[in-house]
Amino acid sequence: MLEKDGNLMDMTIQSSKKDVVRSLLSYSSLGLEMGLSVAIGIAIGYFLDSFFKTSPYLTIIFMIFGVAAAMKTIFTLLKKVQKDNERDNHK
Amino acid sequence: MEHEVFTWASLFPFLKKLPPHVSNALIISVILVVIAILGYTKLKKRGDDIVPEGKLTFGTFAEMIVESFSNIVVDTMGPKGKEFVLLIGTLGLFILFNNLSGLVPGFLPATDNVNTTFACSLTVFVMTHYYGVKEHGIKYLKQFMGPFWWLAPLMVPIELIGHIARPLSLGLRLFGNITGDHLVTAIFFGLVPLFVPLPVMFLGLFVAFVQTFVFMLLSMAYFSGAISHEH
Repeated sequence: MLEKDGNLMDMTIQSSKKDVVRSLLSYSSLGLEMGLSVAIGIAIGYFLDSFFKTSPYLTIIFMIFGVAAAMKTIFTLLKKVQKDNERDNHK
Repeated sequence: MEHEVFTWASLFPFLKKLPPHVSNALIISVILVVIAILGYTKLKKRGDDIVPEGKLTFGTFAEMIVESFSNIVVDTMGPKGKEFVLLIGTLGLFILFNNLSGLVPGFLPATDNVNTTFACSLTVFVMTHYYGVKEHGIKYLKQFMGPFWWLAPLMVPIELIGHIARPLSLGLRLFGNITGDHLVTAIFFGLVPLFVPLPVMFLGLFVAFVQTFVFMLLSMAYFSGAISHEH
């Protein structure tokens, strides 16, 4: 009985460790993705500006879109974390 | 006097003319295909025996690789993930063997070139939307419009930028990590060839596994985001 409990505890500790590693790795993707979102926004705006000859308005507008996309990346990750937590609590 | 750097690819006459990342990717692919065919024939020869072999043979080794990959995918994506084991396992094995080949003298890892990593990440990008359209039909486009229809002109560019950033960050991360690691090892090797590059090479081993796992984990997250019914 004791041994069985010990095994069970070991298993939960192991699985929670695995979860921590997994979520740490997925958080580590956040920084690069946020920076690239702003860069892509500016690139699209710059291209459109040189196409329509409306410099610098579209660059600024698409930069704001890029910043909003970066914020949305955080928001989706936050929602995912919340959902995972709820699922773990229901277990 | 510069002399030509030795690579295994220069031994084959038709691979010599190709750029190094293409020839090394070809060699790694051939190695992977040989492993797959040998493992398949071993498994087929064993037939329907329920009791597994007692010791570690090539057949059980191949079985172990496939089982661990399908376990990772099903653990992360749930029962729906079985469809994606083939794609993610292929990408994972290709990237892992390419990363590890950087530690073998005479190999230049194919993943330290942007072309290879972007080929992998663009595959994930295209397949994400393919599976999304397959799961939801034309309603998949509604995911880009946000919660209300009058927010659509604001949300569509935001979502588009977010979706373009995904394959770019996947490819750039893999390329940067493997290139940096390879470069640091080469510099330390140039300074003191004996024992000093060892810790850096150990770090390279760690980076190779972690970057493969990150690539698989993120592509699984993108796939499950595309096929999920809530947003």
